[in-house]
Amino acid sequence: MDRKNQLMQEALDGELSPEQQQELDAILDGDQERAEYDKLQVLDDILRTAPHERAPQRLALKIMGRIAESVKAQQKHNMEAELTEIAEAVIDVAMTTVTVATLPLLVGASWLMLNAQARPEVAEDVLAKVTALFILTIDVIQVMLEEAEAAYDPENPEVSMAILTMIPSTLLLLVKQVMGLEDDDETDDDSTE
Amino acid sequence: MSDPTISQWVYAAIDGDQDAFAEIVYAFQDAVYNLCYRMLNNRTEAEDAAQEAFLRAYNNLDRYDHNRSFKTWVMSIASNHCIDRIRKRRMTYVSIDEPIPATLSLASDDPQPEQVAEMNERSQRIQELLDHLQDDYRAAVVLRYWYDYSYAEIAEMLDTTESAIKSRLFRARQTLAALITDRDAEPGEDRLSRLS
Repeated sequence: MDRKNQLMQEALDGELSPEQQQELDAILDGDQERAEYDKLQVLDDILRTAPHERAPQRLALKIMGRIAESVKAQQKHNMEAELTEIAEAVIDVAMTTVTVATLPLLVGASWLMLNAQARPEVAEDVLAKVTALFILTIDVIQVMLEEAEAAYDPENPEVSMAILTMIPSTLLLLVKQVMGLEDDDETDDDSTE
Repeated sequence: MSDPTISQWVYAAIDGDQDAFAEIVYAFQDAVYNLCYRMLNNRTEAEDAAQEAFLRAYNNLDRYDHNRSFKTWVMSIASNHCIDRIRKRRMTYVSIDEPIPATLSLASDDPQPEQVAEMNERSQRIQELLDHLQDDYRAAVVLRYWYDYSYAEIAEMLDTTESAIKSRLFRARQTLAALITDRDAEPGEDRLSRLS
């Protein structure tokens, strides 16, 4: 920016010292410079007195509405992230539970099969029982997982966890029913008597 | 309204108090909206930009430097957002008829309808002038004339140097002054210099 423009700018901004004002006056002696400065002053006056636009009615309400939505979305996102962590933990527990629950069943089924080889006449009956046992096991696990899922409440996840932890004992009860086994406690009680 | 009050609202808003942020919005909505309107020359878009500016401010409250003026910070967000919008608009510009303002809120201490009409006409003519400026020149003019920010403050808000702002502002003034002269010279045109 040359000296003339700099002085004009500072004059418009009201920042000229008396010496600079004299310098500008000398420059503005020329018709062309005077005309240019006058135009700038007209513009300056127009802009300085320009009206302010007022915000439309309800703008603040709309803004606060958007902020509330944004906060809600953020909270939902955080909760989903938290739920994902919980879900992963639940799946881990469920897999462990299923493994723990089915391991004795597999061992039991293997034992039945081995004994059936010694007595081929009962093999068909044993196979039917083992198959029924596995189908029942899968059904029970599926039903209990669905129940756990339906009962899930982010604020009270213990209910679901409790259902999951009941899977091993339920399966054990099922095995005893199918195999016609007596309860150990009852047996002990009977023997005591 | 004292700065300590605003600081209290800001701290409360950072702690999640939405009512405190609502106070901030009420305090600065006119300033932010006027800036957006002057930058975008479209009331609907200006309203949306003002909303977006406050939303961004709310989401970035933790980044606010408490040594700075909160108003300057919000205005900085709004002006940069408007510059972005203008740049995007250039890429996908669709001409939209400017809707007539839905409401001109006329409280008992508001100007009379004739004055409002006159002000609107004046405002629109000034807007037509501003429309001839590049986005960053326009931002400098609006921040200087409507909000009386110093060159240093404008430079900080627009992330540039003080000398760049001085230069932009002078060129903008020259461009606008030339436009006023040209329009005044056109036969049949209303004299823009009447606006002064």
